[in-house]
Parts: sequence; structure tokens; C-alpha cells
Amino acid sequence: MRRYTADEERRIRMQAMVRDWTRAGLLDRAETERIDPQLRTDLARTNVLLRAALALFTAVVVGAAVALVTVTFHLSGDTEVAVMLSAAAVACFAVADAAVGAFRWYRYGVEEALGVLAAAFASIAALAYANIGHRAVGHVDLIAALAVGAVANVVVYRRFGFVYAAVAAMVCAGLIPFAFDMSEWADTTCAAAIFAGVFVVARTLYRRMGDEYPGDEYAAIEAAACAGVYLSLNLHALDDVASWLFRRSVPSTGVFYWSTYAAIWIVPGAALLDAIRAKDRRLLDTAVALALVTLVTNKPYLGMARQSWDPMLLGGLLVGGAIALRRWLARGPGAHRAGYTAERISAGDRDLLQLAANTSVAWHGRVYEQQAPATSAPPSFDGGRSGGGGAAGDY
Amino acid sequence: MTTERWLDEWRTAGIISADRHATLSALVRKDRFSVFLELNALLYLGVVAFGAGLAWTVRDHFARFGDAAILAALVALVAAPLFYCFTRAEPYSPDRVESSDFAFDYVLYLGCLAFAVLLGYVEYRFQLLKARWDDDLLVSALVYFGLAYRFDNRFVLSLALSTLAGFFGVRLVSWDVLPSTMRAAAVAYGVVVAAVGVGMQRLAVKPHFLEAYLHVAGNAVLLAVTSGAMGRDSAWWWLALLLGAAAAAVVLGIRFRRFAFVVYGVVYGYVGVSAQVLRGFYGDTETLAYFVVSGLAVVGGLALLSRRFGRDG
Repeated sequence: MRRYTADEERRIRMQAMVRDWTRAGLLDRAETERIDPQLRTDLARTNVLLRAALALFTAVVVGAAVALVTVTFHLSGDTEVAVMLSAAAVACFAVADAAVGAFRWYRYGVEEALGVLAAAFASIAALAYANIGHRAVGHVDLIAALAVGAVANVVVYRRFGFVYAAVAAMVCAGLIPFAFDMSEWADTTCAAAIFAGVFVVARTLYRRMGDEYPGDEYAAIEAAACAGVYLSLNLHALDDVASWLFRRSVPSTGVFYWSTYAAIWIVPGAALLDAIRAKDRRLLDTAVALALVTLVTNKPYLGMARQSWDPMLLGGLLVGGAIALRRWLARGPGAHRAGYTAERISAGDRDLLQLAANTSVAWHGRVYEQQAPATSAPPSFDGGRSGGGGAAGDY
Repeated sequence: MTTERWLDEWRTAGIISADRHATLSALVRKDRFSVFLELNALLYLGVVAFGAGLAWTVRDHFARFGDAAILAALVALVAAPLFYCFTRAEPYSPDRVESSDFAFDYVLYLGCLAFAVLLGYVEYRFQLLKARWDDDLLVSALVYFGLAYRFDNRFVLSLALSTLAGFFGVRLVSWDVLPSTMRAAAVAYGVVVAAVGVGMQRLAVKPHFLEAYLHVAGNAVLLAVTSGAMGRDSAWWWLALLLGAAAAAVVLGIRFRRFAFVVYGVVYGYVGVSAQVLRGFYGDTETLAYFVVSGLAVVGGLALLSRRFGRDG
């Protein structure tokens, strides 16, 4: 049972849409002022950054409180830790639920952190329970933790509507096969099948309901599931973190290996076609991102060495493709084709581009740091001091 | 009630016109579906990938290609975008100017990244500035600032700001706090950036750039004073500076409804103050109790602040 009614959820989404339309000039102030009172709810919401800060400090408080109980009562055995974490999970969920009821918080940060921590504590408690007396065989403890994590996140999603909890539940479920001692192909295939199952269910629900609540939530889950299918099958996409995900290396030969190679082209392609046909933005963006990952991992898949000009080729392809697509759309009747247009409609698009520009200061700075020499004078062959854009260094 | 039903009701009630209703209904039904953001994201990623590959290729293959070939290629990569931009740009205006075409901003950005590679290569190979080689950073930054203002380009502005940080000698060390030698430079950098941003805004020259300046300046100053306050043997005035800067960020953030600065002030302030307070604590119990109590205080304060000023909806 949701903490918020469907009407409240729809009003909140409508309000966001009206604000975006107003900023984009599609509604004027007078119209918005007449519309706004009709969309009001008694839910308390806050600015996105304050929400993030509230979530952060709530996590600090809860984490410290749990550690404090552990230290004060000298809890060290698996049983004691398991019981304490179970109690913490229940307490976090109960407090989140009570806070939403008392303060009518909606995406306020506090209840979100509590909900997420409740699921995390439940998952770790399951790990501890399974380890009591060190009797866990194989990876039973991990399987228990992931299974409980999946269920707990579903409960959090069902109660509060946090889509990221639903995605976390799906990820926990998708990781379970990797904790079994199965053959290399079996765990990958099972994981992909789990994500594919979620994808099919979410896609069916989304297509039935459209972008209206709760269809928008299913659309997000559908896109995440598509990414899950892809990342399960792309054996080189997560090379750096494979061991964290209990993933073993797969020999780069054989039918299975080359089947996954085919899959990393087919999955983004099929998702892209499906998204274009349905004008499904989340799936479209996910498919494009996955296609980029395919391009980046193509060489490792084929056992070829990366070349320094590979990023230039990729960059040229992206720029050329974007310009060509934009021109093709602009030349259509009314500057659109089948409803697709390259013109900006949402005011939020500009905000995101400005955010990208502002945050690029950080990576410009990292380029500079990596290329800056240790000494103050220019050595003969290891570089000048770099500007943010990478001027100089290390040739 | 569905979105289309809302729109129908508003039209029936005379809140929106029939034209508005038609336009908005078309958007809701996805008769118009914009891929503006997606295309821009591809362009941005493409230019960044191209720039990174260019720097990598020049670094790895300069001996094979020779100076002449590399310089010719780099000069062409700088000149062509600049020629394109100067010949196709809208006339200069101190206000916001929308790009004359879709790829315009990214062409300029690519030219600037190529310029950075070119300047670095020339400096490395020919050491024109020799002992004053840091000056190339200032020159680069000034060029980027000029181009950012001429063409109203935020990507190039961010490039200018980070290059200027390099000139001041400001850099993070492996994501660690700023080393003590860099703190004063970071504060100076932040003050200069904030002053330039505010000054340009007062002069009404690209006033929409102000926020970019203030984000960079705020983070530089707060990071510097926080790392100063966290030092084991730091002077008391680092903490005083931190408290002052954090309070200013919170107060001004609330006043101008820029809540990012409120969050900067709270987070940096909390980290710096906690580092000082925890220096007097030795046991785990005290330390954890501190985090529970202080964290609750911050959550309570932020919740009150959100309720009063940051309410959204």
C-alpha cells in the first residue's frame, strides 16, 4: 500500500510539467497562477539540493547510531549483529513511515535515506544470520543477503514509490546467479534472464499505462532492466569491477563468448528501435548509452589493442552522427519527422546543459592535475604545466 | 486524472486558450518529441572524446609524425573552428545570445581544446616561455575568457576557470584535501573569480555567467578554508574563516534562493567544525555520539530551513 495516493502523485507530476511549460514560454505567468492552486497537495517537498543534504546527514546519523549501539553493547557475534541490524532495519522503515505520515514529506531526503538504509540493514542482517556459527556453505550468505535485499527494496518501493529502490531490488536479484558456483555461461545467462524478465513485465505495464503515473515509474524500471540485460551479457563492460560483482573471467573463445559479442550489438539496437517506435525517452537514452559502451568495448572483445586515435574516431562518429541526425530532422516538414524534432522544447534541457558546462570544470581540472609536472621548471621531456584544457605536458 | 483531462478542464474553464491547449496536448501525446538534449549530449561527448584522443595521439606519436606535421594539424584544428565561429557568429551582445546553429558551441569548444593541446605541445617542444612557462596558463585562460564572452559559451568559460586555477597553482591531490601550500592560492583564486563574476554582472556583461563563477569560487574558498581548519596544527583563524565563509554561503544562498550554496556552507562547515571538535575526543563512543547529536542538529536545521525557504510545491 502506497504512502501517497495516485491523485497526489499525478498532481505532483502535473505541477512539475506546468512549471517546465511556463519556463519554456508555453504558458504565461497569469495562466500558471490560475492553474497552480488546482494542483496543490498537502505534501511537503523541498529543493533537490537540500533534499540531497538531508539524505546525507540522515545517513550519517543512522550509521553513527547503529555503530554506537554496536560499540556500546559490545556486539560482535553474528547473532548479536544480525539481531541488531534487523532491529535497525525495522526501526528505519518505521521512522520513515511515521515521518511521512506526520510531516507529509514527499522526496524530502530524510525518509528516502531511512528507506534505503532499512533495505541495506535487512540485507546485511541476512548475511550475518546466514553466517551464524560460520555454517554458511558456498556463498549461501551472499545469496541470502541479495535475496533479502531484493525483497526489502521491493517493500520500500511499494510503500514509498522510490524508483531507485525498485532498481536496487532488480540489481540484487540479478546478482544472485553470480553467487552460485555455476559455469561461466550459466550465471551470466541466468542474470540476463532475470533482468529480461523484469524488462518484459515493466515494458508491458508501461506500454499499457503510458507516461501517466505509475507508467513513468515502469518506464524507468524498464530502462534500468534493459541496462541490466546488457551489462550481464557484455563480458568486458565491467572489467574493472567484475570481481566485486562475483563475476569470473570468461575465456575469449567459444560459442558463448561470441554469442555475447553478438548480444552487445543486438540489445542496444533492438532497444533503440523499440524506443524510437514508442517515443520512450528513458529507453532511448539508455539504448544510446549502451550503444556507446558497445563501441568502447568492441576492441577488447576482439582482442585488439586500443589505439590513441580511437577516442578521436569515436568523437568524430558522435559529432558527425549528431549533426547529420539534426539536419535530417530539421529538413523534415515543419522541422520534424514522425514527431521527432531537434528543437528545444523543455526548459529543463537548458538547465542540464548548463549543469554539464559547470561541472566540466571538475574534469578540466583533473586533466590539468594529471599533466602537471612535479617540479617547477620544465624538464626536457616530460611536459609543461598544463591548463585546465590540458595545455602542455608529458609529451 | 490524466494530463490530457487536466488540459481539457483548463480549456473549458477558460484558463488556457484553444491554441495553448492544442500545443500542450501535442506534447503530452508525444506528437512532438524533442531529442535536443540527446543530440547535445552526443556532441559534447564527441568533442570531449576527440579532444582526449588528440592529446593522447600527439603525446604518443609526436616522434613518428614530426613537429611540422603535428603543428600543422593542430593549427588547422584551432584555426578552422575559430574561422567558422567568427564568420558565423551572431553580433556580440552583453546579454544571453543563443547559438547561431546547433553545433556552434561545440565547434568553439573543440577549437579551444585543440588550442590547449597546441599550446602545450609548443611549450614542451620549444620552451618559448622557459622560466616563465606558467604564463602560458594565464594566456590560455585569457584567450578562453575572451572567447567565452564573445560567443556566450559556458563550456569555454569552465575551461577558462579551470585553466586560471592552474595558473594560481590550485589543484587537488588525489582527491585529498588541499595541501597547506595551496590553501592561500585557492582562497586568492576564489576571491578573484568571485570578484570578476560579480564585477561582470554589475557591468551587465553576460550576467548569466555569474552563477558559474560563484560555484567555482565558493567551492575553491570553502575547500581551502575547510582543509585549513582540518589540519592538525592549523591556526585558529582557519576555523574562523571557515565559519565566516560557510555562514556567508548559507545566508546569501537563502537570500538569493540558490540552495546549492546553502548546501556548500552546511557540508563544508560541518566537516571543518567536526574535524576540530573530534580532535578532543578519544573514544569511539564519544565520537559516534557526536555524529548522532550533531547530525540530528543539522537534519533538524535543514528541515526547518527547507520548510521555511526551500519548499518546492
